[in-house]
Amino acid sequence: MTACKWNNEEELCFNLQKLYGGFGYQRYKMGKFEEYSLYLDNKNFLKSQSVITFNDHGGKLMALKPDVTLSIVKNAAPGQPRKVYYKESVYRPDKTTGEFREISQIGLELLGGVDDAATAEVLFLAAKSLEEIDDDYILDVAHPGVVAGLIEDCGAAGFAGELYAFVSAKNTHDLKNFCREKGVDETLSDKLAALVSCGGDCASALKTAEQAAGETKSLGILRSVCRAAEALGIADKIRLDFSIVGDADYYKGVMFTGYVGGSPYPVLSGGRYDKLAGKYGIDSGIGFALYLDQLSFYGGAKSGGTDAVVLYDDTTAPARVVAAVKKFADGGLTAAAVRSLPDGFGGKIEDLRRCADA
Amino acid sequence: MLNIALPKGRLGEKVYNMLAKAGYACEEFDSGSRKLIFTDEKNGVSYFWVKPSDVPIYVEHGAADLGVAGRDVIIESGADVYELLDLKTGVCRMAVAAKNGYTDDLSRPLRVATKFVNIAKNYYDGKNRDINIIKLSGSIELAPLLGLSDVIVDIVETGTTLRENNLSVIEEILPLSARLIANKARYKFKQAEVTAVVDKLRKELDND
Repeated sequence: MTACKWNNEEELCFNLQKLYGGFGYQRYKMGKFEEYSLYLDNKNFLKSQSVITFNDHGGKLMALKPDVTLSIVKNAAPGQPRKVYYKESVYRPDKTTGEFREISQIGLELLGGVDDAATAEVLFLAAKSLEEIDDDYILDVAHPGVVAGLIEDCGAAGFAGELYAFVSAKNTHDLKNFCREKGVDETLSDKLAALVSCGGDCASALKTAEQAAGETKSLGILRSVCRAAEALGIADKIRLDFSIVGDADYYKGVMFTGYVGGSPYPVLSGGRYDKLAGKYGIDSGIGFALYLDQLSFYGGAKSGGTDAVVLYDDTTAPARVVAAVKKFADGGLTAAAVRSLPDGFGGKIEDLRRCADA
Repeated sequence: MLNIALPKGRLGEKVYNMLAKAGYACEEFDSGSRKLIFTDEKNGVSYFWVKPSDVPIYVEHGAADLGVAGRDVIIESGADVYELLDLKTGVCRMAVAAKNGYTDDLSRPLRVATKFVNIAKNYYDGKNRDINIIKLSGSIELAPLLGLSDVIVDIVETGTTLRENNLSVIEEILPLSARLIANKARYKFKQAEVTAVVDKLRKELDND
């Protein structure tokens, strides 16, 4: 039996903050602005390179934050493990219109000393975050190193970008044609295609990947993640997907993407970003963000109405109106005091108007 | 139940026939009808007709689990979808064409008339050539003939229209054909059903 638990953003965030707090993560509150140079230096880490900028009083070029992780990593003290969670807005352009939108995110970051236990913990919390929205969820896990190894074997230094585009679209037909044109050994392109097409539960995906790419360090890491997922009771929700690719300048290690049954878009993404952390003197980092804006339409439209109405007029004592609404609220219903019945209202009605007494 | 967006027109009908042969027929399907959605509970499939250029949008936003679209439409839309199978139909190419005897004047930007703004932009970005794009919706071949543009970027099938208008292909951009695409999230939750469709269609294609 599966169930959509999504009710509203506030309730979800309350539950998630409790979850993250229970695992020792502390709330991290940050300002809305950051120096633009941070994003210029790390532009490939951003989902979009368009940023809203302005000059502050001192003439410094500032930006409305398009990303949270960069700010947390930049401001973390090297040498001290840090576990934080956040609920922040970021500002990114809409893909269709190009207009900037305020996007709400909740997520966590674990900086420094990331080991297998920390990875398992973050993966577990990502899974539990999705479960807070819907029992019907999937957490895709990948290690870009598996595909990167094969692409390197293809000798694709000059055309790796094209190959990665085919990989992330699971486009094996164009991938094979392209490799043929470039003179890549067909055995290698077949292996790459097999790896990209495979995906699914840990056992079968690991088997296919091992046949395609051989036993590599990256695959060993995924094997260890799968073992942890099994022990934590979330293995049935984990799928391995070798088509997830991340920017090699920032990511190193597992990456994950989360989906819930009713949403056509990924609602969570994260991964291990040791190379980004390394730029700021931190040995390792891992985290994820849940995109709250993607959930706005989740579970269908809400009526916007109340369960009950209290009808009143000028003859009704104000205290009687308030008491009647409170009575409904105490009983767990939502109620509103109104002077006339809303069109098509089908809920409970308490009529306190004089004509009703007559 | 799989929801499949088909492009209105000959290509959509052809691909529906392929799907029907592969075991995904829909009893009430009628391409001449004004009805937009056709469902077959028994075969677990629901088809709907949409404008060809809208197919990737329906799929990306999850209104359809699967869709059929030309590679040109997929690339131009920039939709974040899986491209699972080359249906090997609707085969043509995206090309640059110009009046016969045209030579490029590198001292000024190139005027390019096209319906495919993103494809043209990416192609010339890759060559570091400065261009002015003139977006048109149809009769692209007219643009160089009337001096509106130097070249056009358009789909070329047989080349007859170009030949009859004293135009010719000067550069090939990419080969095109119809593709089966899938919504990334729906793929995760319906992987077995989607994989079955892909495998059966692939078998049909291999038998042809």
